[in-house]
Amino acid sequence: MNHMKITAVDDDSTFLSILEMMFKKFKDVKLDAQFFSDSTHALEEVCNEQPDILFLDIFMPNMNGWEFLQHLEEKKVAVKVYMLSSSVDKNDQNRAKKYSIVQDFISKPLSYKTLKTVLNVN
Amino acid sequence: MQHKISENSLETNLFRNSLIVCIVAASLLLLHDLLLDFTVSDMILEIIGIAFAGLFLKLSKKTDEVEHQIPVFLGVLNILLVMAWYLNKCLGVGLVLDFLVVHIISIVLLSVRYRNKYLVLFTLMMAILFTVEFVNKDFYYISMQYRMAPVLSKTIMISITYIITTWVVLYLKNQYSQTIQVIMAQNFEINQKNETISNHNSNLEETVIKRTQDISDQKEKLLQYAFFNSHKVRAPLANILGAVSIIEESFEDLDLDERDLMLNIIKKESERLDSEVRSVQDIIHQTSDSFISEFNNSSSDEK
Repeated sequence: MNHMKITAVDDDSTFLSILEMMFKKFKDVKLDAQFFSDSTHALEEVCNEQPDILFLDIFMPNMNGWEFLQHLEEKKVAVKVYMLSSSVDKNDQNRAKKYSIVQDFISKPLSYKTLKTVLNVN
Repeated sequence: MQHKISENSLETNLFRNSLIVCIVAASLLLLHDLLLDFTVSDMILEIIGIAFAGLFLKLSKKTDEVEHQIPVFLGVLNILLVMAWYLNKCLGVGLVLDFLVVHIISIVLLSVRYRNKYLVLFTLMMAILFTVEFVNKDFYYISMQYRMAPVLSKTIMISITYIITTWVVLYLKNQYSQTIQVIMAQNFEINQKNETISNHNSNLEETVIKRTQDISDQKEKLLQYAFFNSHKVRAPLANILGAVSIIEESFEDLDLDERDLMLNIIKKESERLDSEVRSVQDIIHQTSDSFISEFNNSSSDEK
């Protein structure tokens, strides 16, 4: 069984609950998921744990998603980042593409189909 | 500036017209004397008198009141005629009766404004006349027996000339005044419009800055609305859709607690969405900075 470390950072705790519930559906893959609503604390954990996939919100208090990405690039943390935001602004999508570690920009809601693609499972 | 020039031009025309009328009147007098077979010396002295009167009129060009020039002209003319009469009395020629009639008519026709001045002038002339008569002990020329017919005809001629002259000059002055009033009214209107244009020009830059600021504010509000739409409205909506998606895809796999959790999420996020939509109008009226600040604060509070 595949093992995958996933971290999700979003100040919206409700969304994190939904995401956790969606992860449970994947029986064929072992997902070691961590959820953070505080981006500052999340940065430390990501740097330490080096997850395979990071779901990152953009607009958060204290440290927003762009600042989070900046720190990751400075510290050369090798992680596949998926920006996950309720924003539908093209400017946000284009800005996300400028970061090499960002794999894609996903506008909420996150569907099972999209999540399967991201996790590369059937 | 152009209107001031026009005003001066009108005044010059008025003076010229007055002068022409006076010259015509003087010419009629001369013609009359010629037809009545006056002596040459009489006519020469009248020409000199008229010339002096014209010179006086010319010198009095600076006088603003044109009406004032006519009695003065006639007064000077008659003074000179008296002198002519005195110098030629030895030849048996006199102008006493027409002199009296002309001046009485003048006094009657003149406006109150100039009547007193003319009366003074007339009294002075009469004093000269009677002084001369008294010195010479000869009151013959005051008598109406002297050359009755030519004197009457000349009196009528001079009276008519005077009346025509006065009315023509008054008519011209009236036209002049009306024209000046029209020009002044137009000047006033032009000045007002100039002032309005000047005010518009001075306010133009301010208006442009204000409108640019208004447009910038509107753009800012649109950006705020877009921001609000993305993060405040779509966030609960996305959570509702996410919960619905879980129920659709894996309803059978969910235990009762998980189903309750999903239902609670849908309910809570629906209420949140309703609240956020209601506050859209308020948020639009806020500035960008205060809005983002509020957004960040509210996000902190939610945590």
